Amino acid sequence: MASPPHPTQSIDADRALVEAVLAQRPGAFERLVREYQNLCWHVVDRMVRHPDDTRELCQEAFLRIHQTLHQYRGESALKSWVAQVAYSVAKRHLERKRIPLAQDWPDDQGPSLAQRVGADIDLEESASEDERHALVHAAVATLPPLQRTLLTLYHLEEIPIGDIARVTGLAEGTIKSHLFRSRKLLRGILESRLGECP
Amino acid sequence: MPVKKVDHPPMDDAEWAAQERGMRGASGAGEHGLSGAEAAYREVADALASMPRSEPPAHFASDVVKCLAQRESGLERALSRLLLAAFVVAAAVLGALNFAPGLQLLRASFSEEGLGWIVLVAGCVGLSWATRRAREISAPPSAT
Repeated sequence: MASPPHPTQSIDADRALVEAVLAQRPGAFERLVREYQNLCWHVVDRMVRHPDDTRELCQEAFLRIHQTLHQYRGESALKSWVAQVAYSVAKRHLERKRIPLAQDWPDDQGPSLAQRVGADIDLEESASEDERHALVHAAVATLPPLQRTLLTLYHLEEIPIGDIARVTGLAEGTIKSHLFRSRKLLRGILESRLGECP
Repeated sequence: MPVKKVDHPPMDDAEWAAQERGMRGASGAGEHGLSGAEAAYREVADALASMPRSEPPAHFASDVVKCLAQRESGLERALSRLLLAAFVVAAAVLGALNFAPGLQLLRASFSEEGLGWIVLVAGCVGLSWATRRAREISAPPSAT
């Protein structure tokens, strides 16, 4: 298996791509979009959960990236910068629609969510991995946008907490707290659903 | 709308460490000798890493590039026409001032100050026409 590129090589490649786009080399911007469209899509989709809005907002995010690319200094990975723009575009969309980004963590959220989530998923002690994963996925879908997105950035995109702080503008402690409580909640849901079985 | 202020109760450091070890175990690193809590969190991390990922449509990148090209060409066209209109107005004013035979008559009829006002009004009319044209050109097709 090929090893991932060294961070310095990756930053150099990012700088080269940005320079090519700024120099208006043919195909350079399309290459940038192709390279980061999945990341942008995942962030926006996890925030807004609406396919048509996701498409429109991702397009808006890339147009904004093109417009402000001269501000990219190459001090952090382009991946983080793209995620930051995608997050900010999606956040503004939620604000316009008055959808709360985050919610409090009431102590009794765990059991009620555990009862609510995956009620149609009948888990047994021998439940397959796919079934248990499906239960966790259903639980993640019920979390508020911020918590969903933080789990996506950390677990799916494997972005370090320091970079997530830059992407979201939140303090590292806040991010850790959300991750901690989300994962604890998910563990509780898995265990309580399995515990219901005879 | 700012992010709602959320109270963060103190985190259990030992449990946080178990979550992180469970995550590393899920990625295949250090998966041996996990405690009960760590194994439970490995399962959570496994599930999170396998969350379904929606993908952008096949032509998304080329659509973005087309959209960008349309925006830029619209703006460019509007600016060129605005510049051209300003140039035409300026050339007409200069030509009239220096070469039109009728201008001598005009000069004779009006004072220098009056003539200045006429030129200013003509300039304003020309500029507002050019601005309106530029707005029509740069407006999206559905609005026209």
